[in-house]
Amino acid sequence: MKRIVTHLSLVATSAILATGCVPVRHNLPPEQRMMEVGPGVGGPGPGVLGGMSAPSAADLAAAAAPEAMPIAQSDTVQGSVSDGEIGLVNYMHPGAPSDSPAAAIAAPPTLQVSFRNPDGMQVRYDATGNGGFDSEPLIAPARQNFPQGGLYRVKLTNIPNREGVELYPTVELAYANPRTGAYLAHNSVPVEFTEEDFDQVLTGNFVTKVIYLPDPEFQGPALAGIDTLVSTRLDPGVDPIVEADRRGSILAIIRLGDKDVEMSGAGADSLASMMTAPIPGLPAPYAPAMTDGCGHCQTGAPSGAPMATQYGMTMSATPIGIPGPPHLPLGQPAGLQKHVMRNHTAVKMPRPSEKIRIDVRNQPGYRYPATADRIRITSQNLNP
Amino acid sequence: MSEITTLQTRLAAGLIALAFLFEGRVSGSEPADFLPRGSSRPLLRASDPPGVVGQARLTGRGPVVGYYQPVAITGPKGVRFSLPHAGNPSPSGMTVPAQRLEAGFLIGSVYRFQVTHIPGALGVELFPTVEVIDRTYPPQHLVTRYPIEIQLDDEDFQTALRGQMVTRVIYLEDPQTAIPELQNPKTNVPLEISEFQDPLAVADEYGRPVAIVRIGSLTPPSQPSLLPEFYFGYPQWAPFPHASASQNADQDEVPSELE
Repeated sequence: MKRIVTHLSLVATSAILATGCVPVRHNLPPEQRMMEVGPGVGGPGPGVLGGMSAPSAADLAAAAAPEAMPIAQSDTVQGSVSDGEIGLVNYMHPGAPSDSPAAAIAAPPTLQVSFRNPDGMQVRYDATGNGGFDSEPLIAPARQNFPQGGLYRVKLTNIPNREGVELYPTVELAYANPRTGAYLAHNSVPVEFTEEDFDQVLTGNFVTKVIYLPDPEFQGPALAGIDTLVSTRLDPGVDPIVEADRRGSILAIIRLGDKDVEMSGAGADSLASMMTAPIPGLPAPYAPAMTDGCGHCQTGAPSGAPMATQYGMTMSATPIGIPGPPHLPLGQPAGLQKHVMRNHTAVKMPRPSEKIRIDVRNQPGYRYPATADRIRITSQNLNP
Repeated sequence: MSEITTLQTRLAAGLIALAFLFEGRVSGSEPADFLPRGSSRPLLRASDPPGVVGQARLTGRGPVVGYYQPVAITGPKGVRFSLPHAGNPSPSGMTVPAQRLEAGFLIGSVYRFQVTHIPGALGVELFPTVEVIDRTYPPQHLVTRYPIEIQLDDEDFQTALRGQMVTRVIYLEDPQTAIPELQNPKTNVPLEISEFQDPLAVADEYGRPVAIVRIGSLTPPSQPSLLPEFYFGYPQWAPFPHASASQNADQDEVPSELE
């Protein structure tokens, strides 16, 4: 009997301890959580007065270093200046162009032409678009930027050992493309005339020089860089333009003859410029180049703008995203009549949920003190 | 009847296959002959226009957008480097030439810097470009202590002055295949490759490419309106804190290819 009483007393004691005869702790959620309605929902919760939230790290950084000008707020950027970190100071003044190539580059794409040989030769070009050669003379070796995709006529004077000789070659500059963009962004296109070229021209021959960037398979170790094909050095019947196009990407085509275009009666159209200079000081093209290209290829921004379709080129894109090959022979209808593309990608997309049940349980739970449901007021007057 | 039809169909198919096989033997050309050698064709090459490789990296994973990757550029003894500084009131528009150029560059942007005081070509200026195509992950407080080290030698400049183009791809060595040798500015010898190889592909085999440097002989245009195109839109860059102090301290350690 005594054991039963003892056991009962122990059970009662443990029950009392387990059921809450301990100091009560009122556990409230954090203040920041109480400021919000629920997970993922901002704003103060119902019945909660606005409180003072803790300042964010960005506010502290701004208060500690107001002179610092962080230019980004992402986690990958350090906003403060300390030893071992990069101080992100925007070095561009407000009026300076931004880092967006499209916003910064408003001028037409150009490439640089260097007139190298012979030394001392003077080169003039059309700087105003009136068809003359009214530019300041460039004395070789000299450089000048030309807009891409133009046909320019230049005037060569003061050729060493050939007094009185004036020649008017044309320089056709191609557009930059993904193959030549890196080269044209770092190197100039060399235009050189040799004694042999002048001899050929003065004897009545027509010289065509094609400057091209060879493909790797046509580029030997001794020919690192660009190469030039001259019509007078090729076998008869070999077109230097076709041959250069087969070997690589054409940068410029120079055509040199002995026609004096400034002679009276030479033809008004020969001097009439079809285009004006896009920027004052830049050479004005005599005619657009007959090469296809994409304007800002050299900046690396893949252009999504549709390109002008060249004669003989397909108007539709191939599945790999580049224009298709020309239809040979040129002028014939397109050989590709149809292409079928099948999508074999395994697609298993689940249906959207029509109803979501969210069970939320916070650990520990909330416990408030019991609200008053009974009030006892005792009034006692000791000295009535 | 159906079996006869099936047999005829199989015979026709076999004859057609033989005809194709014979045709292929006679012509002697395979479609693979017109494809580049190798098992794969890379989407990106070092010969791509500046900015293409870096912009492609921005579409990948990782915190690379908006990150200023520290870069340090050094060269032979005496060579000075400077960056375009649009807010600089000086007429040149460049920063003070330094023997060690340190700055934080945005990934995907192309930065053209100036090289002066080239040995053997005094008065000549070169304007190479550097394109950061990936970032490194040093500890937070050591980001400027371990920048991407770009060491240019005199051969690069002389080759560029001859009218050729030099492409350098800086890569982070794969720790599993790295050469077990202490790398310092004097032992860090560039890997020369042939004209037929893509430096980006070769660097990708040895590690993780992080930057591309292209050196040519292009000069700034005479028209001021063309300068934004020349400098690729003046992308933002971040200077190192206490850069002047570190420059003075590091000048004695600048590698010299002429020594």
